[in-house]
Amino acid sequence: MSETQFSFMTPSRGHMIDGRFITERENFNRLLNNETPYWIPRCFDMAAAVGMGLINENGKMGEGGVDDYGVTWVATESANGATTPDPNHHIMQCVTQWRDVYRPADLEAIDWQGHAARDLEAIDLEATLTSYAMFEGFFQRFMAFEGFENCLCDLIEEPEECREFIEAMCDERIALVEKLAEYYQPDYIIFFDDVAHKNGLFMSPEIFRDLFKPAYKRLFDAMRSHGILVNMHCCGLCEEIVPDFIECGARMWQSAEPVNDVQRISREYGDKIIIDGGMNSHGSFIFDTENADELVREEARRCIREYAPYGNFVFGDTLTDRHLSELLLDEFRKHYLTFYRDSEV
Amino acid sequence: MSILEDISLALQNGKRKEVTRLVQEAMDAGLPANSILEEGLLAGMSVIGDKFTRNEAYVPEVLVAARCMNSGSALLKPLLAEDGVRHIGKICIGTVAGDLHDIGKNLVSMMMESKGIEVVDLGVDVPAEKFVRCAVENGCDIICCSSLLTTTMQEMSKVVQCAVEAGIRGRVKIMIGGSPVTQEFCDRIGADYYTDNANSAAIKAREILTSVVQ
Repeated sequence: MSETQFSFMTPSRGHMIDGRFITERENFNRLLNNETPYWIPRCFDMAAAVGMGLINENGKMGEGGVDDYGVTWVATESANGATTPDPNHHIMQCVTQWRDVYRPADLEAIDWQGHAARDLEAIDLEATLTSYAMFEGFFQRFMAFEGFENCLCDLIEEPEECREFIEAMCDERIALVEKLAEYYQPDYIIFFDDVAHKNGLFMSPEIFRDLFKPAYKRLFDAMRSHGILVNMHCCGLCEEIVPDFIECGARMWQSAEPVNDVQRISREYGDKIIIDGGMNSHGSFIFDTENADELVREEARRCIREYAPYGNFVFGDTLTDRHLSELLLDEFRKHYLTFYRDSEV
Repeated sequence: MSILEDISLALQNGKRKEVTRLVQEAMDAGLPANSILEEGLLAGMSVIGDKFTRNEAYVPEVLVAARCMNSGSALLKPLLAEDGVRHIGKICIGTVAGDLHDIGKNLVSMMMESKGIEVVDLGVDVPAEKFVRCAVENGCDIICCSSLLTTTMQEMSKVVQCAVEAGIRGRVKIMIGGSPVTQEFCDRIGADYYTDNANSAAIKAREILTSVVQ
């Protein structure tokens, strides 16, 4: 992909508000302090992604291939080149094999200093935040290793082996956090672990709490010990365990899809968790081609109308369709700067 | 408690070895294979499926139960064939072209089998023509399409179109599902049925197939 295709991800430094230049960082800090922000922050405006590609977590965008953990990924055009684990090629059939196949990424082989210098050079750290995307959380990598079915059955049939595998993955992630803290000190780390689908969790909350939550807590504690905020990415209907994310130390929840009662969560936990997303990426604008333009604009307005009043909201625009993405962003741009002074949307 | 209830309960609890042992015991006691299947294994799967629909059971419980059912029904297979026990109908299923996600499709397959339906699994990344060709060649009553991506769900309308062109639309129903799929989308592309979870899909398919048989 060319750089222009990622132009919507170019971070901003801030805005003039009432004659004073307010940085993105200053605005975001107001959310952290549970104060009304000057404007509605947008994830791609407020933070620059750093450390991209340091570790091959899921194959190469647009190409796929084998990642640093031995998993084969396949890129599909339909997902704009995003990769998915090859469903016909799993590196283990049962979690009891994990000790034979799991090799942590070689963090010492990375030129941390060189990468960090290049990444951070162009970023005005006074004005803009930095974020690191920690793709493939424990559940996702587990599934990548042996596929959904084996993984989910193992959670019931081999819980102790699962626990040990998850804790081993957690050790590796903590070692990565140490490196990131030393060379990048990102403001937040987005931890991707989609443990839910559109109708609910992939596993019972009890299994999540028993096997995954302790590792989440240990990893998030490591991030927080370096002053790094935790942004928990979890798509699907997961509101039942959002309080668990908070307990583990997450300060942000990414995607926060509207199959969840996002407003209720903001009412009950708004001072503890920042909503980073909220968009319905499966809205009817996807297939209603006649009305798509207006529908996607309305989706931007809905997010603002429903979530921004709580003052804990970061707009997250992530649509695959380029045209619709542009309209979504255009609509957001009409309102975000003035919303907290003139809330008509 | 009868041995058939024991089989059902052991399956619901995901006890594969126990299910296998009990099925063997029931066979040795001379119980009809069809009763063991219907009142033991499938009855247990039905309970798990309903719990799944009500969010009281989760995907792992369904998968483990399905593995129990497969172990038990493997023992019964020769006897069922001898007794001339048939499936209530046949469906073909796949994830549409461009989409490699298989969990939803696999879950629906298992649920379908647990309702006594024969399943032809076409796998992932299945072109529209292949769904229709399979339905024609195998005499399937229903085509089931799964999609997880907003960019691939449009492939489902191609399946509908292909079925129209092949002249099978009158006798073959088309069911769709998957994360981005909705009833509104189903209506728009002219598919027959949308269901929002695997168990509902199997219940709907059974409903269609039994009404076809009648």
